[in-house]
Amino acid sequence: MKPNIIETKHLSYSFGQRQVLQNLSLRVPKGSIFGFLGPNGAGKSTTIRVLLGLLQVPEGQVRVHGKDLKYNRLEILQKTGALIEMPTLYRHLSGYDNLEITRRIVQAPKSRIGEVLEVVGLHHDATRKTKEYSLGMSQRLGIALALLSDPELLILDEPTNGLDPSGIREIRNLIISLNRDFGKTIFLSSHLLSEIEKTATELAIIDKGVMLYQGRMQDLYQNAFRSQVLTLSCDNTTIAAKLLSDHQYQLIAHEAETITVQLAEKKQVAAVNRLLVENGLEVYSLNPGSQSLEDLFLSITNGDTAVNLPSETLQPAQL
Amino acid sequence: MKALTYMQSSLSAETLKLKSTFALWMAVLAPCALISMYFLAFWAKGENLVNKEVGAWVSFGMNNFIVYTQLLMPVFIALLTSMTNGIEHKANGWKHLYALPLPKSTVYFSKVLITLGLVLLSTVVFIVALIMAGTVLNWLRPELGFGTYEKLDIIIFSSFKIFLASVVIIAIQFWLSIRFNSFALAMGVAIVAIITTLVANRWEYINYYPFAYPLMVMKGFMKKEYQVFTEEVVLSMVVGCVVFILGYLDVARKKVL
Repeated sequence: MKPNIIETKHLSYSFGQRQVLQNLSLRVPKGSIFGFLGPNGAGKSTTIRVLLGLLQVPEGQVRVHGKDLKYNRLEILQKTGALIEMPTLYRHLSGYDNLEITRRIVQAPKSRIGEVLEVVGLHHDATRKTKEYSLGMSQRLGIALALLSDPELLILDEPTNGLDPSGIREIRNLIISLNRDFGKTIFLSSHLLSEIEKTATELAIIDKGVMLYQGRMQDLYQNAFRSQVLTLSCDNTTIAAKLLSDHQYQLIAHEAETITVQLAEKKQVAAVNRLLVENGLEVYSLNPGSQSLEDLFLSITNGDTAVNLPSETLQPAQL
Repeated sequence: MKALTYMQSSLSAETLKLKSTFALWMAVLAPCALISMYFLAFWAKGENLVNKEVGAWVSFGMNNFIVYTQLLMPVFIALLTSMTNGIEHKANGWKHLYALPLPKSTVYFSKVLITLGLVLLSTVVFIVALIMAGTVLNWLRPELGFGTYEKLDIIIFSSFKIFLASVVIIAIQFWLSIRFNSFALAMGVAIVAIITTLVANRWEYINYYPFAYPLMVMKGFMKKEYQVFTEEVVLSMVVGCVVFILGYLDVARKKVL
Protein backbone atom coordinates (compact mmCIF):
# COMPACT_ATOMS: atom_id res chain seq x y z
CA MET A 1 0.00 0.00 0.00
CA LYS A 2 1.53 3.26 -1.14
CA PRO A 3 1.36 6.21 1.25
CA ASN A 4 -1.17 8.88 0.41
CA ILE A 5 0.23 12.27 -0.50
CA ILE A 6 -3.14 13.97 -0.03
CA GLU A 7 -5.72 12.80 2.46
CA THR A 8 -8.90 14.55 3.42
CA LYS A 9 -11.18 13.27 6.15
CA HIS A 10 -14.86 14.14 5.96
CA LEU A 11 -13.96 17.46 4.43
CA SER A 12 -16.87 19.86 4.33
CA TYR A 13 -16.87 23.47 3.26
CA SER A 14 -19.55 26.05 2.81
CA PHE A 15 -19.72 29.62 1.59
CA GLY A 16 -22.16 31.07 4.07
CA GLN A 17 -25.35 29.02 3.79
CA ARG A 18 -24.32 27.23 0.62
CA GLN A 19 -22.69 23.87 1.25
CA VAL A 20 -20.01 23.37 -1.42
CA LEU A 21 -18.22 20.27 -0.19
CA GLN A 22 -19.81 17.50 1.80
CA ASN A 23 -17.94 14.81 3.63
CA LEU A 24 -15.23 14.52 1.03
CA SER A 25 -12.64 11.84 1.82
CA LEU A 26 -9.93 11.99 -0.81
CA ARG A 27 -7.00 9.61 -0.88
CA VAL A 28 -4.35 10.46 -3.43
CA PRO A 29 -1.61 7.81 -3.56
CA LYS A 30 1.98 8.93 -4.02
CA GLY A 31 3.24 8.56 -7.58
CA SER A 32 -0.16 8.57 -9.21
CA ILE A 33 -1.86 10.81 -11.70
CA PHE A 34 -5.04 11.48 -9.83
CA GLY A 35 -7.93 12.59 -12.00
CA PHE A 36 -10.43 14.74 -10.18
CA LEU A 37 -13.49 14.79 -12.33
CA GLY A 38 -16.72 16.66 -12.05
CA PRO A 39 -19.01 18.97 -13.98
CA ASN A 40 -18.65 22.73 -13.63
CA GLY A 41 -19.64 23.90 -10.20
CA ALA A 42 -19.11 20.50 -8.60
CA GLY A 43 -16.66 21.83 -6.03
CA LYS A 44 -13.38 20.94 -7.74
CA SER A 45 -11.85 24.39 -7.51
CA THR A 46 -13.02 24.80 -3.93
CA THR A 47 -11.34 21.50 -3.04
CA ILE A 48 -8.12 22.67 -4.66
CA ARG A 49 -8.23 26.00 -2.84
CA VAL A 50 -8.70 24.13 0.41
CA LEU A 51 -5.76 21.83 -0.40
CA LEU A 52 -3.53 24.88 -1.00
CA GLY A 53 -4.62 26.64 2.17
CA LEU A 54 -6.37 29.46 0.29
CA LEU A 55 -9.59 28.61 2.09
CA GLN A 56 -9.38 27.65 5.71
CA VAL A 57 -10.73 24.42 7.15
CA PRO A 58 -10.58 23.09 10.70
CA GLU A 59 -7.76 20.95 12.00
CA GLY A 60 -7.70 17.27 11.11
CA GLN A 61 -9.60 17.48 7.86
CA VAL A 62 -6.74 17.87 5.41
CA ARG A 63 -3.37 16.16 5.44
CA VAL A 64 -0.87 16.83 2.65
CA HIS A 65 2.56 15.18 2.56
CA GLY A 66 1.45 13.43 5.78
CA LYS A 67 1.07 16.70 7.70
CA ASP A 68 -1.95 18.62 8.91
CA LEU A 69 -2.47 21.59 6.62
CA LYS A 70 -3.73 23.83 9.40
CA TYR A 71 -0.36 23.93 11.18
CA ASN A 72 2.14 23.13 8.41
CA ARG A 73 0.99 25.36 5.58
CA LEU A 74 4.40 26.70 4.58
CA GLU A 75 6.14 23.34 4.85
CA ILE A 76 3.46 21.72 2.68
CA LEU A 77 3.53 24.52 0.11
CA GLN A 78 7.29 24.19 -0.21
CA LYS A 79 6.77 20.68 -1.61
CA THR A 80 3.73 21.53 -3.71
CA GLY A 81 3.42 23.28 -7.03
CA ALA A 82 0.10 24.58 -8.26
CA LEU A 83 -1.57 25.91 -11.36
CA ILE A 84 -5.03 27.23 -10.57
CA GLU A 85 -7.16 27.76 -13.65
CA MET A 86 -5.54 30.51 -15.69
CA PRO A 87 -1.88 30.90 -14.77
CA THR A 88 -0.72 34.02 -12.99
CA LEU A 89 1.38 35.86 -15.53
CA TYR A 90 2.64 39.41 -15.33
CA ARG A 91 1.91 40.31 -18.91
CA HIS A 92 4.31 43.25 -19.04
CA LEU A 93 7.24 40.95 -18.33
CA SER A 94 8.98 38.22 -20.32
CA GLY A 95 8.48 34.54 -19.64
CA TYR A 96 11.92 34.45 -18.07
CA ASP A 97 11.14 37.34 -15.71
CA ASN A 98 7.86 35.72 -14.71
CA LEU A 99 9.78 32.62 -13.73
CA GLU A 100 12.42 34.72 -11.99
CA ILE A 101 9.77 36.35 -9.74
CA THR A 102 8.56 33.00 -8.46
CA ARG A 103 12.10 31.61 -8.34
CA ARG A 104 13.12 34.38 -5.94
CA ILE A 105 10.23 33.51 -3.66
CA VAL A 106 10.73 29.74 -3.65
CA GLN A 107 14.50 30.27 -3.53
CA ALA A 108 15.33 27.79 -6.23
CA PRO A 109 18.78 27.94 -7.86
CA LYS A 110 19.02 30.16 -10.92
CA SER A 111 19.78 27.18 -13.19
CA ARG A 112 16.32 25.80 -12.40
CA ILE A 113 14.71 28.35 -14.76
CA GLY A 114 16.53 26.85 -17.75
CA GLU A 115 15.53 23.37 -16.63
CA VAL A 116 11.82 24.08 -16.34
CA LEU A 117 11.81 25.99 -19.62
CA GLU A 118 13.30 22.90 -21.23
CA VAL A 119 10.70 20.62 -19.63
CA VAL A 120 7.74 22.66 -20.92
CA GLY A 121 9.45 23.42 -24.24
CA LEU A 122 9.48 27.21 -23.97
CA HIS A 123 13.23 27.91 -24.00
CA HIS A 124 12.99 29.62 -27.40
CA ASP A 125 10.26 31.99 -26.25
CA ALA A 126 11.61 32.82 -22.80
CA THR A 127 12.66 36.37 -23.71
CA ARG A 128 9.33 37.30 -25.30
CA LYS A 129 6.78 39.26 -23.31
CA THR A 130 4.06 36.98 -22.01
CA LYS A 131 1.34 39.17 -23.48
CA GLU A 132 2.44 37.78 -26.84
CA TYR A 133 2.00 34.20 -25.65
CA SER A 134 -0.74 31.96 -26.98
CA LEU A 135 -3.11 30.34 -24.54
CA GLY A 136 -1.21 27.06 -24.77
CA MET A 137 2.13 28.73 -24.15
CA SER A 138 0.70 30.61 -21.17
CA GLN A 139 -0.60 27.38 -19.75
CA ARG A 140 2.78 25.70 -20.21
CA LEU A 141 4.51 28.63 -18.56
CA GLY A 142 2.02 28.23 -15.71
CA ILE A 143 3.13 24.62 -15.31
CA ALA A 144 6.76 25.76 -15.46
CA LEU A 145 6.02 28.16 -12.59
CA ALA A 146 4.55 25.30 -10.60
CA LEU A 147 7.64 23.18 -11.31
CA LEU A 148 10.21 25.76 -10.17
CA SER A 149 10.53 24.52 -6.62
CA ASP A 150 10.85 20.92 -7.90
CA PRO A 151 7.78 19.88 -5.89
CA GLU A 152 6.80 16.29 -5.19
CA LEU A 153 3.18 17.15 -5.75
CA LEU A 154 1.67 19.12 -8.59
CA ILE A 155 -1.86 20.39 -8.32
CA LEU A 156 -3.26 21.38 -11.68
CA ASP A 157 -6.73 22.87 -11.88
CA GLU A 158 -8.23 22.51 -15.35
CA PRO A 159 -4.87 22.86 -17.11
CA THR A 160 -6.34 22.26 -20.55
CA ASN A 161 -9.19 24.74 -20.20
CA GLY A 162 -9.65 26.75 -23.36
CA LEU A 163 -6.92 25.03 -25.35
CA ASP A 164 -7.22 23.74 -28.89
CA PRO A 165 -6.75 20.00 -29.55
CA SER A 166 -3.02 20.25 -30.20
CA GLY A 167 -2.55 22.36 -27.10
CA ILE A 168 -4.51 19.80 -25.10
CA ARG A 169 -2.28 17.03 -26.41
CA GLU A 170 0.87 18.95 -25.53
CA ILE A 171 -0.29 19.43 -21.95
CA ARG A 172 -1.40 15.82 -21.70
CA ASN A 173 1.97 14.52 -22.87
CA LEU A 174 3.69 16.89 -20.49
CA ILE A 175 1.63 15.61 -17.56
CA ILE A 176 2.35 11.99 -18.41
CA SER A 177 6.06 12.72 -18.80
CA LEU A 178 6.22 14.61 -15.49
CA ASN A 179 4.71 11.62 -13.77
CA ARG A 180 6.70 8.92 -15.55
CA ASP A 181 10.08 10.59 -16.01
CA PHE A 182 10.20 12.90 -13.01
CA GLY A 183 8.18 10.87 -10.51
CA LYS A 184 5.76 13.68 -9.67
CA THR A 185 2.42 12.96 -8.13
CA ILE A 186 -0.14 14.91 -10.11
CA PHE A 187 -3.54 15.96 -8.90
CA LEU A 188 -5.42 16.91 -12.02
CA SER A 189 -8.87 18.39 -12.01
CA SER A 190 -10.98 18.54 -15.12
CA HIS A 191 -14.51 18.51 -16.40
CA LEU A 192 -13.25 16.86 -19.59
CA LEU A 193 -13.56 13.13 -19.34
CA SER A 194 -11.42 12.45 -22.35
CA GLU A 195 -8.51 14.15 -20.60
CA ILE A 196 -8.79 12.20 -17.38
CA GLU A 197 -9.43 8.97 -19.28
CA LYS A 198 -6.17 9.36 -21.19
CA THR A 199 -3.86 10.37 -18.37
CA ALA A 200 -5.08 9.37 -14.94
CA THR A 201 -4.17 6.23 -13.05
CA GLU A 202 -6.52 7.05 -10.18
CA LEU A 203 -9.82 8.77 -10.35
CA ALA A 204 -12.38 10.49 -8.22
CA ILE A 205 -15.71 11.72 -9.52
CA ILE A 206 -17.42 14.49 -7.65
CA ASP A 207 -20.71 16.25 -8.15
CA LYS A 208 -22.46 18.89 -6.04
CA GLY A 209 -19.69 18.53 -3.46
CA VAL A 210 -20.28 14.82 -2.97
CA MET A 211 -17.87 12.07 -3.96
CA LEU A 212 -19.50 9.63 -6.34
CA TYR A 213 -16.60 7.35 -7.13
CA GLN A 214 -13.02 6.94 -6.07
CA GLY A 215 -10.59 4.27 -7.06
CA ARG A 216 -8.18 3.03 -9.67
CA MET A 217 -8.93 3.76 -13.28
CA GLN A 218 -8.79 0.07 -14.24
CA ASP A 219 -11.31 -0.87 -11.59
CA LEU A 220 -13.71 1.68 -12.95
CA TYR A 221 -13.54 0.05 -16.37
CA GLN A 222 -13.92 -3.44 -14.95
CA ASN A 223 -16.76 -2.66 -12.59
CA ALA A 224 -18.73 -0.17 -14.45
CA PHE A 225 -18.40 -1.21 -18.04
CA ARG A 226 -20.79 -4.07 -17.79
CA SER A 227 -23.44 -1.91 -19.29
CA GLN A 228 -24.03 -3.28 -22.80
CA VAL A 229 -25.96 -1.57 -25.52
CA LEU A 230 -26.97 -2.59 -29.02
CA THR A 231 -27.60 -0.31 -31.95
CA LEU A 232 -29.45 -1.87 -34.83
CA SER A 233 -31.04 -0.88 -38.07
CA CYS A 234 -33.80 -2.63 -39.95
CA ASP A 235 -36.46 -1.97 -42.59
CA ASN A 236 -39.09 -0.73 -40.16
CA THR A 237 -37.79 0.71 -36.96
CA THR A 238 -41.23 1.69 -35.68
CA ILE A 239 -42.42 -1.91 -35.61
CA ALA A 240 -39.07 -3.05 -34.24
CA ALA A 241 -39.27 -0.52 -31.42
CA LYS A 242 -42.80 -1.68 -30.54
CA LEU A 243 -41.70 -5.31 -30.61
CA LEU A 244 -38.69 -4.75 -28.45
CA SER A 245 -40.48 -2.74 -25.82
CA ASP A 246 -43.27 -5.35 -25.76
CA HIS A 247 -40.61 -7.91 -24.94
CA GLN A 248 -39.32 -5.87 -21.98
CA TYR A 249 -36.24 -4.46 -23.68
CA GLN A 250 -35.30 -1.00 -22.54
CA LEU A 251 -35.04 1.41 -25.44
CA ILE A 252 -32.44 4.10 -25.13
CA ALA A 253 -32.87 5.86 -28.42
CA HIS A 254 -35.16 5.58 -31.36
CA GLU A 255 -34.25 7.39 -34.53
CA ALA A 256 -35.39 7.15 -38.14
CA GLU A 257 -32.82 4.57 -39.15
CA THR A 258 -31.57 3.10 -35.91
CA ILE A 259 -32.69 1.89 -32.52
CA THR A 260 -30.50 1.57 -29.44
CA VAL A 261 -31.45 -0.85 -26.70
CA GLN A 262 -30.03 -1.62 -23.31
CA LEU A 263 -28.90 -5.24 -22.87
CA ALA A 264 -28.22 -7.21 -19.74
CA GLU A 265 -25.57 -9.35 -21.41
CA LYS A 266 -23.96 -9.84 -24.78
CA LYS A 267 -25.91 -13.04 -25.54
CA GLN A 268 -29.04 -10.99 -25.88
CA VAL A 269 -27.80 -9.63 -29.21
CA ALA A 270 -28.71 -12.98 -30.76
CA ALA A 271 -32.06 -13.03 -29.00
CA VAL A 272 -32.92 -9.57 -30.31
CA ASN A 273 -31.93 -10.58 -33.80
CA ARG A 274 -34.06 -13.74 -33.64
CA LEU A 275 -37.02 -11.80 -32.33
CA LEU A 276 -36.89 -9.31 -35.16
CA VAL A 277 -36.28 -11.87 -37.90
CA GLU A 278 -39.03 -14.19 -36.64
CA ASN A 279 -41.42 -11.26 -36.83
CA GLY A 280 -40.63 -10.69 -40.46
CA LEU A 281 -38.32 -7.69 -40.18
CA GLU A 282 -35.22 -7.29 -42.32
CA VAL A 283 -32.25 -6.64 -40.05
CA TYR A 284 -29.49 -4.63 -41.76
CA SER A 285 -26.99 -4.17 -38.99
CA LEU A 286 -26.31 -5.01 -35.37
CA ASN A 287 -23.70 -2.94 -33.49
CA PRO A 288 -23.13 -4.11 -29.95
CA GLY A 289 -21.15 -1.67 -27.83
CA SER A 290 -20.35 -0.63 -24.35
CA GLN A 291 -20.78 2.70 -22.68
CA SER A 292 -17.77 4.94 -22.83
CA LEU A 293 -16.56 6.65 -19.71
CA GLU A 294 -18.29 9.76 -20.97
CA ASP A 295 -21.69 8.10 -20.87
CA LEU A 296 -20.83 6.60 -17.56
CA PHE A 297 -19.76 9.99 -16.24
CA LEU A 298 -22.93 11.57 -17.48
CA SER A 299 -25.02 8.76 -16.08
CA ILE A 300 -23.28 8.98 -12.70
CA THR A 301 -23.64 12.70 -12.45
CA ASN A 302 -27.21 12.67 -13.73
CA GLY A 303 -28.18 10.06 -11.20
CA ASP A 304 -29.55 7.55 -13.73
CA THR A 305 -28.13 5.05 -16.15
CA ALA A 306 -27.54 5.11 -19.86
CA VAL A 307 -28.84 8.32 -21.27
CA ASN A 308 -26.56 8.76 -24.22
CA LEU A 309 -25.80 6.90 -27.34
CA PRO A 310 -22.62 4.90 -27.23
CA SER A 311 -19.92 6.86 -28.99
CA GLU A 312 -19.29 4.03 -31.47
CA THR A 313 -22.66 4.53 -33.08
CA LEU A 314 -21.86 8.11 -33.88
CA GLN A 315 -19.34 7.03 -36.46
CA PRO A 316 -20.51 6.91 -40.07
CA ALA A 317 -21.94 3.61 -41.20
CA GLN A 318 -19.47 1.26 -42.79
CA LEU A 319 -20.11 -0.26 -46.17
CA MET B 1 15.85 34.99 11.10
CA LYS B 2 13.64 33.00 8.79
CA ALA B 3 11.17 35.88 8.62
CA LEU B 4 13.99 38.05 7.33
CA THR B 5 14.83 35.60 4.55
CA TYR B 6 11.18 35.45 3.55
CA MET B 7 11.00 39.24 3.50
CA GLN B 8 14.19 39.52 1.48
CA SER B 9 13.08 37.08 -1.21
CA SER B 10 9.61 38.57 -1.34
CA LEU B 11 10.99 42.09 -1.68
CA SER B 12 13.29 41.09 -4.51
CA ALA B 13 10.38 39.41 -6.30
CA GLU B 14 8.17 42.47 -5.81
CA THR B 15 10.87 44.75 -7.16
CA LEU B 16 11.10 42.70 -10.34
CA LYS B 17 7.33 43.02 -10.84
CA LEU B 18 7.79 46.80 -11.10
CA LYS B 19 10.16 46.45 -14.02
CA SER B 20 8.94 48.52 -16.99
CA THR B 21 5.66 49.44 -15.31
CA PHE B 22 4.12 52.88 -15.37
CA ALA B 23 4.09 52.93 -11.56
CA LEU B 24 7.87 53.08 -11.47
CA TRP B 25 8.01 55.75 -14.14
CA MET B 26 5.39 57.81 -12.37
CA ALA B 27 7.34 57.83 -9.12
CA VAL B 28 10.18 59.45 -11.08
CA LEU B 29 8.27 61.63 -13.51
CA ALA B 30 5.62 63.16 -11.25
CA PRO B 31 8.04 65.22 -9.12
CA CYS B 32 9.98 66.16 -12.24
CA ALA B 33 6.79 67.43 -13.89
CA LEU B 34 5.92 69.60 -10.91
CA ILE B 35 9.43 71.04 -10.61
CA SER B 36 9.67 71.77 -14.32
CA MET B 37 6.40 73.76 -14.21
CA TYR B 38 7.75 75.99 -11.47
CA PHE B 39 11.12 76.08 -13.20
CA LEU B 40 9.43 77.64 -16.22
CA ALA B 41 7.40 79.97 -14.03
CA PHE B 42 10.49 81.21 -12.17
CA TRP B 43 12.45 81.49 -15.38
CA ALA B 44 9.75 83.67 -16.94
CA LYS B 45 8.38 85.61 -13.96
CA GLY B 46 10.94 84.95 -11.23
CA GLU B 47 11.02 88.58 -10.13
CA ASN B 48 7.35 88.35 -9.03
CA LEU B 49 7.69 84.94 -7.40
CA VAL B 50 10.81 85.36 -5.29
CA ASN B 51 10.02 86.73 -1.86
CA LYS B 52 13.08 88.79 -0.90
CA GLU B 53 12.48 88.16 2.82
CA VAL B 54 12.83 84.38 2.65
CA GLY B 55 15.10 84.10 -0.36
CA ALA B 56 14.94 82.37 -3.73
CA TRP B 57 15.28 78.76 -2.59
CA VAL B 58 12.58 78.93 0.08
CA SER B 59 10.24 80.73 -2.35
CA PHE B 60 10.84 78.07 -4.97
CA GLY B 61 10.39 75.23 -2.46
CA MET B 62 7.29 76.75 -0.91
CA ASN B 63 5.52 77.16 -4.25
CA ASN B 64 6.15 73.51 -5.01
CA PHE B 65 5.06 72.39 -1.55
CA ILE B 66 1.78 74.31 -1.69
CA VAL B 67 0.69 72.59 -4.88
CA TYR B 68 2.12 69.24 -3.90
CA THR B 69 0.64 68.90 -0.42
CA GLN B 70 -2.82 70.20 -1.29
CA LEU B 71 -3.45 69.01 -4.81
CA LEU B 72 -0.90 66.69 -6.25
CA MET B 73 -0.07 64.31 -3.43
CA PRO B 74 -3.52 62.75 -2.81
CA VAL B 75 -3.83 61.98 -6.53
CA PHE B 76 -0.24 60.83 -6.81
CA ILE B 77 -0.56 58.39 -3.89
CA ALA B 78 -3.90 57.07 -5.15
CA LEU B 79 -2.40 56.46 -8.59
CA LEU B 80 0.71 54.84 -7.19
CA THR B 81 -1.02 52.44 -4.79
CA SER B 82 -3.70 51.40 -7.24
CA MET B 83 -1.04 50.82 -9.87
CA THR B 84 1.30 48.77 -7.69
CA ASN B 85 -1.49 46.61 -6.28
CA GLY B 86 -3.11 46.65 -9.71
CA ILE B 87 -0.15 44.64 -11.03
CA GLU B 88 -1.35 41.74 -8.88
CA HIS B 89 -5.04 42.27 -9.59
CA LYS B 90 -4.37 42.42 -13.33
CA ALA B 91 -2.33 39.23 -13.33
CA ASN B 92 -4.99 37.57 -11.17
CA GLY B 93 -1.98 36.85 -9.00
CA TRP B 94 -3.30 36.62 -5.46
CA LYS B 95 -4.12 32.92 -5.59
CA HIS B 96 -0.68 32.12 -6.99
CA LEU B 97 1.04 34.36 -4.50
CA TYR B 98 -0.76 32.94 -1.47
CA ALA B 99 -0.14 29.37 -2.66
CA LEU B 100 3.61 30.00 -2.57
CA PRO B 101 5.56 29.11 0.56
CA LEU B 102 5.46 32.61 2.04
CA PRO B 103 3.71 33.79 5.21
CA LYS B 104 0.72 35.96 4.34
CA SER B 105 2.18 38.76 6.44
CA THR B 106 5.33 38.72 4.30
CA VAL B 107 3.29 39.02 1.12
CA TYR B 108 1.39 41.99 2.55
CA PHE B 109 4.17 43.88 4.24
CA SER B 110 6.64 43.48 1.39
CA LYS B 111 4.07 45.23 -0.79
CA VAL B 112 3.72 47.91 1.89
CA LEU B 113 7.47 48.44 1.91
CA ILE B 114 7.60 48.60 -1.88
CA THR B 115 4.86 51.25 -1.94
CA LEU B 116 6.49 53.30 0.81
CA GLY B 117 9.77 52.90 -1.06
CA LEU B 118 8.25 54.29 -4.25
CA VAL B 119 6.91 57.38 -2.47
CA LEU B 120 10.29 57.84 -0.80
CA LEU B 121 11.94 57.48 -4.19
CA SER B 122 9.80 60.24 -5.60
CA THR B 123 10.71 62.41 -2.60
CA VAL B 124 14.39 61.91 -3.37
CA VAL B 125 13.76 62.62 -7.05
CA PHE B 126 11.89 65.76 -6.00
CA ILE B 127 14.87 67.01 -4.01
CA VAL B 128 17.37 66.22 -6.75
CA ALA B 129 15.18 67.85 -9.39
CA LEU B 130 14.66 70.90 -7.18
CA ILE B 131 18.40 71.40 -6.67
CA MET B 132 19.07 70.94 -10.38
CA ALA B 133 16.28 73.35 -11.33
CA GLY B 134 17.57 75.98 -8.87
CA THR B 135 21.09 75.60 -10.17
CA VAL B 136 19.99 76.03 -13.77
CA LEU B 137 17.82 79.02 -12.76
CA ASN B 138 20.87 80.62 -11.17
CA TRP B 139 22.72 80.18 -14.43
CA LEU B 140 19.81 81.55 -16.49
CA ARG B 141 18.78 84.36 -14.16
CA PRO B 142 21.53 85.06 -11.60
CA GLU B 143 19.71 88.14 -10.23
CA LEU B 144 17.00 85.94 -8.61
CA GLY B 145 19.43 84.85 -5.90
CA PHE B 146 19.67 81.07 -6.35
CA GLY B 147 23.47 81.36 -6.08
CA THR B 148 23.48 81.36 -2.29
CA TYR B 149 22.05 77.88 -1.72
CA GLU B 150 20.67 79.44 1.42
CA LYS B 151 18.22 77.39 3.55
CA LEU B 152 18.36 74.48 1.11
CA ASP B 153 18.72 72.19 4.12
CA ILE B 154 15.29 73.25 5.40
CA ILE B 155 13.70 72.42 2.08
CA ILE B 156 15.30 68.96 2.04
CA PHE B 157 14.33 68.43 5.67
CA SER B 158 10.73 69.48 4.97
CA SER B 159 10.47 67.21 1.94
CA PHE B 160 11.23 64.17 4.10
CA LYS B 161 8.86 65.45 6.74
CA ILE B 162 6.09 65.66 4.17
CA PHE B 163 6.84 62.06 3.24
CA LEU B 164 6.46 61.00 6.89
CA ALA B 165 3.25 62.99 7.20
CA SER B 166 1.83 61.20 4.14
CA VAL B 167 2.29 57.69 5.62
CA VAL B 168 -1.31 57.61 6.81
CA ILE B 169 -2.62 58.56 3.35
CA ILE B 170 -0.48 55.83 1.82
CA ALA B 171 -1.85 53.35 4.37
CA ILE B 172 -5.49 54.22 3.63
CA GLN B 173 -5.02 54.10 -0.14
CA PHE B 174 -2.98 50.91 0.12
CA TRP B 175 -5.75 49.17 2.02
CA LEU B 176 -8.37 50.28 -0.48
CA SER B 177 -6.31 49.24 -3.48
CA ILE B 178 -5.31 45.83 -2.13
CA ARG B 179 -8.90 45.12 -1.12
CA PHE B 180 -10.71 46.44 -4.18
CA ASN B 181 -9.56 46.28 -7.75
CA SER B 182 -10.97 49.72 -8.49
CA PHE B 183 -9.13 52.67 -9.87
CA ALA B 184 -12.26 54.81 -9.63
CA LEU B 185 -12.53 54.20 -5.89
CA ALA B 186 -8.92 55.27 -5.30
CA MET B 187 -9.38 58.41 -7.36
CA GLY B 188 -12.71 59.19 -5.75
CA VAL B 189 -11.18 59.05 -2.28
CA ALA B 190 -8.31 61.24 -3.48
CA ILE B 191 -10.67 63.87 -4.88
CA VAL B 192 -12.77 63.88 -1.71
CA ALA B 193 -9.54 64.30 0.25
CA ILE B 194 -8.48 67.28 -1.84
CA ILE B 195 -11.84 69.04 -1.62
CA THR B 196 -12.35 68.45 2.10
CA THR B 197 -8.84 69.67 2.86
CA LEU B 198 -9.35 72.81 0.79
CA VAL B 199 -12.76 73.53 2.30
CA ALA B 200 -11.78 72.77 5.89
CA ASN B 201 -8.47 74.60 5.61
CA ARG B 202 -9.28 77.04 8.42
CA TRP B 203 -11.21 74.62 10.62
CA GLU B 204 -9.80 74.52 14.17
CA TYR B 205 -9.49 70.70 14.17
CA ILE B 206 -8.01 70.41 10.68
CA ASN B 207 -4.76 69.25 12.28
CA TYR B 208 -6.47 65.94 13.20
CA TYR B 209 -7.71 65.22 9.67
CA PRO B 210 -5.38 62.56 8.19
CA PHE B 211 -5.42 63.96 4.67
CA ALA B 212 -4.29 67.34 6.00
CA TYR B 213 -1.12 66.19 7.78
CA PRO B 214 1.21 67.09 4.87
CA LEU B 215 -0.46 70.50 4.71
CA MET B 216 0.30 70.95 8.43
CA VAL B 217 3.97 70.25 7.69
CA MET B 218 3.87 72.90 4.98
CA LYS B 219 2.32 75.40 7.37
CA GLY B 220 5.03 74.57 9.91
CA PHE B 221 7.62 75.12 7.21
CA MET B 222 6.28 78.61 6.68
CA LYS B 223 6.47 79.22 10.43
CA LYS B 224 10.12 78.03 10.31
CA GLU B 225 9.61 74.98 12.44
CA TYR B 226 12.72 72.81 12.55
CA GLN B 227 11.48 69.87 14.56
CA VAL B 228 11.07 66.45 12.92
CA PHE B 229 8.50 64.79 15.13
CA THR B 230 5.82 67.44 15.24
CA GLU B 231 2.25 66.48 16.09
CA GLU B 232 1.15 65.74 12.51
CA VAL B 233 4.21 63.58 11.77
CA VAL B 234 3.73 61.49 14.92
CA LEU B 235 -0.01 61.17 14.25
CA SER B 236 0.58 60.20 10.62
CA MET B 237 3.09 57.50 11.51
CA VAL B 238 1.11 56.04 14.42
CA VAL B 239 -2.27 56.09 12.68
CA GLY B 240 -0.58 54.92 9.45
CA CYS B 241 0.90 51.89 11.20
CA VAL B 242 -2.48 51.09 12.77
CA VAL B 243 -4.19 51.31 9.36
CA PHE B 244 -1.51 49.11 7.77
CA ILE B 245 -2.03 46.48 10.50
CA LEU B 246 -5.84 46.68 10.27
CA GLY B 247 -5.52 46.32 6.51
CA TYR B 248 -3.40 43.22 6.99
CA LEU B 249 -5.88 41.65 9.42
CA ASP B 250 -8.65 42.36 6.94
CA VAL B 251 -6.76 40.92 3.96
CA ALA B 252 -5.47 37.88 5.87
CA ARG B 253 -8.90 36.70 6.91
CA LYS B 254 -10.32 37.23 3.44
CA LYS B 255 -10.97 34.14 1.34
CA VAL B 256 -8.70 33.87 -1.68
CA LEU B 257 -10.82 33.07 -4.69
